[in-house]
This record gives sequence, structure tokens and C-alpha cells, in this order.
Amino acid sequence: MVTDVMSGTFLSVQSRGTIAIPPEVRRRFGLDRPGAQVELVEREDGVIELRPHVPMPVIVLDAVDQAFVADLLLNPPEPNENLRRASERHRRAITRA
Amino acid sequence: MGYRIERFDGEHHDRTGFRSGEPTLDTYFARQARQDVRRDLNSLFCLREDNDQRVIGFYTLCASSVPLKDIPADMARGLPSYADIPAFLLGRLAVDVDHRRMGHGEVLLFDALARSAGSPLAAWCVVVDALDTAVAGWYGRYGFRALPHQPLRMILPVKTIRTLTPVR
Repeated sequence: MVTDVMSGTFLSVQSRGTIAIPPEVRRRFGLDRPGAQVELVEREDGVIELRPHVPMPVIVLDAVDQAFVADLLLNPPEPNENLRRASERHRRAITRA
Repeated sequence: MGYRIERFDGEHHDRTGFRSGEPTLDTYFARQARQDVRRDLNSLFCLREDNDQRVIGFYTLCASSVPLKDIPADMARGLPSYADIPAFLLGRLAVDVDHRRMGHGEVLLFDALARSAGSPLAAWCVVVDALDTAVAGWYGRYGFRALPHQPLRMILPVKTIRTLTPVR
């Protein structure tokens, strides 16, 4: 389940190809900040994606996700075997400058 | 054969032949990455062989924050009393298709995690936004946990990473 997602909103394409992203979406993704950009991706299935690129990405979480993160940070798990292997492989492979 | 992971240097690193097979990552690396670095929007790190400037993998890292303003009071004990806590965002990670299945992805991943955990900038966790469920599964194998309501957004506490990296 994904919350706070806007869908089914139609945006008019103006004569020069410009569209206006609704203010609430701009605010939520930090696109109202100086330097913000969107990346346009044309997918093979005919969908056009707009991906936000902002100076400092804004992470928006609802209360359930915040509680999940809080619990994870208060009870950090031990590294699993794959992460330990990655650590060892990194140590062996990478030449120190 | 040894490898190096370095900050991207547009004068020396050769990215012309890089192709991960994921169009959004390839387009970003070819057209946007250098501009983001120049504008201080992202740090970009590249993997190459010791004596070869061709890039065979990369990742991006930047500072971010995670909101924790809506958690129950009893859960807030032990956490900073701020509305947001600092985090690192591992935005993109890619390996060239000709260098797949050699473990480079997990080397890049661990480098990003170690760099985050060892940074002079404080952070509580590393966040990734997986492109799709297959990528999310890959991160999950290394201990990243998916958020209940945003399953492609995943978190790994810095304390988990620190047990494998030198204390800063």
C-alpha cells in the first residue's frame, strides 16, 4: 500500500509543451526548492515518468512507516551473512589509495 | 587484479562505454551525473580496475533526513528529540553489463555503507529507493528493510554497518 499518492490527475499540455505540476506535489517532493529538476523517462510500455531531482531529497513517511523506522533504529539488527561477505569482498578487492 | 573506488573525476574517468542495461541509470550517468556533482547535489563514486580508467560501476550518495515527528511518545525514548533525523541516501548504484556476476555490486554497496558509517557527518541510517521489486529483493539480501507502506524505500541502520567497519 502506498499513501499520499496523487493519481488520475490530468495535466494540460500547453502550446510549448509545458505542464504545471500541482503545488501540493511540488511541495511534497521538494520541487519548490531552488535548483529542483524533474527527470523525464519514456518507458517502453508507453508510460512517461517524472522523477524528482532536488538538492536535498525529501523523504516523506506516514506514521506507520515512521514507527517502523524508529523501531529499526532502536533495535538495529546484526549484519547478516551476505553483508559480512560483502564487507570481506570489499576488503579484499579494493586497493587503498 | 585490484580495484579502486574513487570520487568521480570527469577529467580522468572514462564513462563513454558504460552501460548497465537500466536506461534511467545509464541516462543519469551519461547526462546528469557530472552536472549534479558540479552543483554539489550528489557525491558520485566510481569503480575501476587499478590500471584502467574505464568505469565499471558507480553509486551516488547524498545527505538526507528521515521524519520521525509522528511516532508515539513511548517509542521516542532513545531517539533524538528532533522532527527529522539525519540519514544518507544511496540514490543510484549500477554495474556495467560486461562486469556482472563478479561481485562488483556488493563491493560498491558495501563501499557506500562504509563511507556512510565512517563519515564525519552524523547519520542514523542509510536509505535506498529501489527501482523495482527485483532490486528491492537484492538490497533485502544485505539486510535492508522495506517500509510497510513504501516497499521500494528501504532502510539499514548505521549501527548495523558499524559492527563491520572501523569506529570513526
